[in-house]
Amino acid sequence: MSLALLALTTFLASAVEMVEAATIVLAVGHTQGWRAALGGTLAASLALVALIVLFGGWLANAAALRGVELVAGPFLVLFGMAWLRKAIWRYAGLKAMHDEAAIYEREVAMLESESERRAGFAVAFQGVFVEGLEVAVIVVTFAASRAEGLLWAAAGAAAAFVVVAALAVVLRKPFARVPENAMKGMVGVMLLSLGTFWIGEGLGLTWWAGDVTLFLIAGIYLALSAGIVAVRRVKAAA
Amino acid sequence: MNALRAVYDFVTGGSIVAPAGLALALLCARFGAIWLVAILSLTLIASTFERP
Repeated sequence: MSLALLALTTFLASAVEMVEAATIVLAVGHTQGWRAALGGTLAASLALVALIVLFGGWLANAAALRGVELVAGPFLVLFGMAWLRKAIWRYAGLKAMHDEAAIYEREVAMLESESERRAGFAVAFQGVFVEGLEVAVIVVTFAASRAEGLLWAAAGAAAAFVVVAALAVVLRKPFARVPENAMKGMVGVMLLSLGTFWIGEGLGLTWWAGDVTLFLIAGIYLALSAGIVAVRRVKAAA
Repeated sequence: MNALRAVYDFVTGGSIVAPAGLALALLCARFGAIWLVAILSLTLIASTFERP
């Protein structure tokens, strides 16, 4: 299986979550100062890296064990389904699209009414940690594929972190134009497909076209998602 | 209890259908890979009918 696919999946997942975290960090920076914003971001990032090194290292060592895919696969299926159905709801108009500008305004209003200076650090820490936790779990889960899986997955997530952080420093405003929902949907399809494939591997099932089956499964889930969106849109309009 | 609920929501996205469908898919996978994909596909469809 392509390690680049793991890196791409964590890159996209990390980019989506970091765009959301950047909105909170920017709001903290503008209202309570950049020291609190960057301090909270750094502390949360270190905590996430520690989690990945600790649990990822342990799972990477267990990657050679038979049946470890049966632990990682179900996690990926559940995560993937959660990401994908949220994207489907948004495309079908059943849930509001993520509006970074509105979230930024709300965070700024909340922080301006907060007199406690340490609140900025806590809000930035929580924002980055909570948004990054799911990505950290995905990276750790990818370690179950093989030892290099952890490195590639972590590299993908780290690359997205660097790109989003650099853009946040340059632009100094929330990313309102990022196609978050499309990215969320893609990550959902990839996680769901990888999870399905790994469960099959763990159970010793024979896939119809070997490793290529992974892309067939992704195609099935993608087509199915498009179909669900179309049907739900028609129903909502009727 | 709240911590348990938070962990459940974190893993499943708050869905009841997804873990139930996954369990069914794991049980039926013994009949072939197509069953695994088919039941997970149906689970995805059903989970979108849960309340957003």
